[in-house]
Parts: sequence; C-alpha cells; structure tokens
Amino acid sequence: MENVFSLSPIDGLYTILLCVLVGIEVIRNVPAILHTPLMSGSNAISGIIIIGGVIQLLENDLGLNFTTIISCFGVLIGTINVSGGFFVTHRMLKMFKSSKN
Amino acid sequence: MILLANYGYLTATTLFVVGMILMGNPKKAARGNGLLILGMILAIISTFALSLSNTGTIPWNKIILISSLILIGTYLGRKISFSFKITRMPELVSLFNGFGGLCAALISLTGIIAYQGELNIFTKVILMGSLFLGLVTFSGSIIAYYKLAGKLKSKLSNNVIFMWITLFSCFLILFDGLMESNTFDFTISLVLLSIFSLLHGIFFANGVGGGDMPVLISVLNGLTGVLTAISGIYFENTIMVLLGVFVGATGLILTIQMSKAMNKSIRKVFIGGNKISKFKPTDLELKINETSPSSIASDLTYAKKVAIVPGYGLAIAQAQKTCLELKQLLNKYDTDVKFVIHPVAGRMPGHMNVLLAEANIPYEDILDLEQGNEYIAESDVCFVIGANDVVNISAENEKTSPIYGMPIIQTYKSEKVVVIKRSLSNGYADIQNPLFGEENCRMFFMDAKIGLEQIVVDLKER
Repeated sequence: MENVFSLSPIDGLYTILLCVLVGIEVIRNVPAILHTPLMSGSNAISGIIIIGGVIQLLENDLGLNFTTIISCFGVLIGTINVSGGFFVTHRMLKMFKSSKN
Repeated sequence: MILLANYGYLTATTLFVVGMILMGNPKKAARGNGLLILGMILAIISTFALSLSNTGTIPWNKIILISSLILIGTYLGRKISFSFKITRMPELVSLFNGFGGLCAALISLTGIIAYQGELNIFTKVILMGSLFLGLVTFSGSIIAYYKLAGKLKSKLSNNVIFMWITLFSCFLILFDGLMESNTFDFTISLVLLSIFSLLHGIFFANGVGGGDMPVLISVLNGLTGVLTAISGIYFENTIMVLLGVFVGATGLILTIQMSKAMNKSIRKVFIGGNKISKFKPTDLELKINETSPSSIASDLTYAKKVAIVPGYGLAIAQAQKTCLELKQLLNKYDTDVKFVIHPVAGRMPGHMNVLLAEANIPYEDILDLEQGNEYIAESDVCFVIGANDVVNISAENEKTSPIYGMPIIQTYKSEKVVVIKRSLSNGYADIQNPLFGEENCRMFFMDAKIGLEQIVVDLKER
C-alpha cells in the first residue's frame, strides 16, 4: 500500500523525540489518585495497534488461509483490549466523586 | 480521500493528547476518557479512508468482515470489563494488557508470513523483534494476572537462571533467522522463537514478588507501548508511533515512580526479586501498649484532625465502606478526617485510591505521601488500618534495614498513633516494625473490618 504518511527518518526521530517529551510532561502531572485509570486508559490506547491488523486485512487477499485467520484473530483480540480498557476506565472514573456534590 | 484520512489522523492525535491531559484532573478525567474513545473511532475510520484512497474501489466484503470483528470485540471487551469487581482491577488491567501483546504478536506474524520472500533485514528485525516482545508481554501479563488473582504462588528456585536462558535462546534464534544461516527452516525458527518468547515471559513475570506487582504491571504496560511504536515504524503510520511512544512514556514514568516509592532498583525487582535481604535488624523487644475500641473512639472524638492510613489489609478485609461510615460519624464531631495513601499501597499504581473512591470517599479527602505527611504533623490522631511496611520507621532511622531509604508515611509525627492489625506479625518485607513499640503508639489486635465496626458502634452510642 502506498503510504502518504511515511516520514523521512529524521522527521520520524523528531516526532518520536517530541512525543517522548510531551508524554513524560503530561504523565508526570497526573496525581497519584488517578494512576490506575491512567494505566487502564493508556492500555486501551496502546490498542491502536489494531490499525495495523486492519491495514493487513484490507491489503491482503481474503482467502481462507493461515494469515487471514491470524489477522482476524489479532484484530478481535486487539479490539477486546481497546474496548475493555475504555469501559473499565469509564467504570472507575465514574466512582471518583467530589465532596461538593 | 487522502486528505480526509490525513486530517482524520491529525484530529485523532489531538483528541488523544487533550484526552490524556484531562486524565490528570479528577474533575475532567471522565471527559478525557470520552475524548480518547472518540480519537480511537476516528483513527479506525481514517484507516479505512486511507485504504480506499489507495485502491480506488470499495472492498465491501473486507469492510463488513473488519467491522463485525470490531463489533464482536467491543461486545466481548465490555462483557469482560463489567464482570470484574473493582478490587480485582489490577488483574483486569494485566489481562487486557496481555491481549494487547498477543494482538501485536499476531500482527507481526502475519507480516512475516505474508511477505516472507520480500523482507529486507530491517523489516525482519522489526517484525521478529515485535513478535518476541509481543509474546513476552502476553505470557508475562497472563502470569501477572494469575499471581494477582492469588492462583499462582509457586516460586521456582532457579527462576532467574531460566529467565536468562530463555532470553539468550530467543536472541540466538533471532540472530540465526536474520543471518539466514539456515540452521533451521525459517518456519521452525519462528515456532522456536515463539515458544522461547512465551517461556521467557513466564519466567520474567514469575520472578517478581507479590509486593513488587505495581512495578511489573507498569513495565508490562510500557512494553505494549513500545510494541505499538515499533509496529508503527513497520506500517509507516505516524499515529501508531505517536501513541506507542506516549504509552511507553506512561509505563516508564510509573515504573520509575513505583520503584522509587519502594526504594528498590528496577534491576532488583526483576533479578533479585526473590531474595529478601538476609540481613535483618536485630529483633527488639517491643513494649506494646494495647488499647480497646472504646478508648480509640474517645480519642477520635476529642481529636480535631484525624489522619487515616489504609493499607492493603483494609482492602482484603473489605472495610472501605466502614471507613466511610467512621469518617461521616467523626465529621459530626467537627473532626477533620483525611486519608493518607502511600504510592505502593495496593497491587498497582493508584489501586488504593480506586478502592476508596468505590466506597464513595471524596477524592479531596485523599492525600498523597507529601501532603499526607504535612497533614499528619498537625493531626491529633493517626489511625493506621492494615498497613505495615509503609509506616515502618526503620526505613528512616535504621541504616541496616533492608528498606532503609524508602519514603514512608510519618505516622509518628502525630500526637497519637493507633494501629489496627490482626497480630504483631511482620509485613510483606518481613521486617519488624519498631513503630509498634513507640511510646505514643497504641495497638488494637483485630481484623480491620470487625475492629472498625466495633469503633463505629461505640461512636454511635455516644
């Protein structure tokens, strides 16, 4: 698949560097009381990896062969990770209440 | 179409970053989670658009297949996430993390098999590396899941050796596969690599002691992030790299914070995890002052400021709700009650906070280590419920103590310390706690829940 998003290696390194810095800065400011939801939330977004599985399924021929089956299984398992992570995070955050209301 | 996909990814990235920023604020965190979900949906739709722009035709059969997979996965994920109690949150997070690792491994396996002939050495390194990491994360997380559930307690004496052997084997097979030295058929190399990666994950996680679980979970979480970033490089997909690095940073920061809070180097957690330092401070004869529920109750009613230090023992005894009741009763006497939580209380970062939130204790009344110690210094009574190692004063004043240097909750700074504990037994680190013999410390030997209930009954009768 021709990819319009491909970066030159140096652009990629800049992106990674900035991401690390932004990531560290954002996470450092999260108070300890929110660490568990933060973890399950970040667990869910690391499931963005299913995009890779989706690309593979769109790209390859859909025959009934080994690669198709493991791709499908990968996307299924990955989606469980994504949705489960978000639902759990939501469940936990709903419980955090302020004394003011 | 390309433009659409491009801006879709850009918007999704913005949603993710803003969502993560909001996740740092208790008031806005739920909204942040909503933004993350929107970002995820947008990113998947953009991926479809990207593919359409490349092929020109709409492959309906594939779109239907993928959408139904996503729908089934979402349904299953929802079902699993609601079937766990809040106390079992760390298990659930490990389980999902393992799924993420397996997904990454399957994707790289597909990549290797589908393009076997035309892979250059760089993509081969990436794919085989992420197969290895993915399977290690998978089996490691599953082991963590069983350990947290208390279903797995066996400790192998030679665990560290097995860990190194399996790791070394993985590298040998990887190297062999890359060099095309044809010792094995490529398929056999892949099978061997998978088996040894799975084994390595098992030994890697199994060597970590129960008290070090928060570090293990943070590390595994970070690993899935790294995996996602690596896959992003393979697919040349910026959003995957971005988010992967983001999650990797989360894992890294939490790992560092957790190991700092335990005063244990990361190396020690994974390699020396089983060996508890043989050198123990001399067992002192402690002068124990016992107390009763009614005298604790009267101490609490006369106090202006009370600090409660809950430990994992409180969660095991399921006494969170009773804690809230106690707090509400004391608030009627104009007593200010705050909870002070050590970063490694519980089985994962922030676990104790979630447990207290479940019991409807408002988050303003929960203090972290630093604020908590300031509060305790001004408090009249410090009430320790089911915590031990995190209030062990030998971490501050006994240089030979294995936990020397670990930041603790400075309960002794309070006018009076009251401890509810089942017995005088040592805590998880197996070190005697001299706090219990201090002059201003009173002990009440009882199960946390029963003890708290007795105090609550006494308070109600007043």
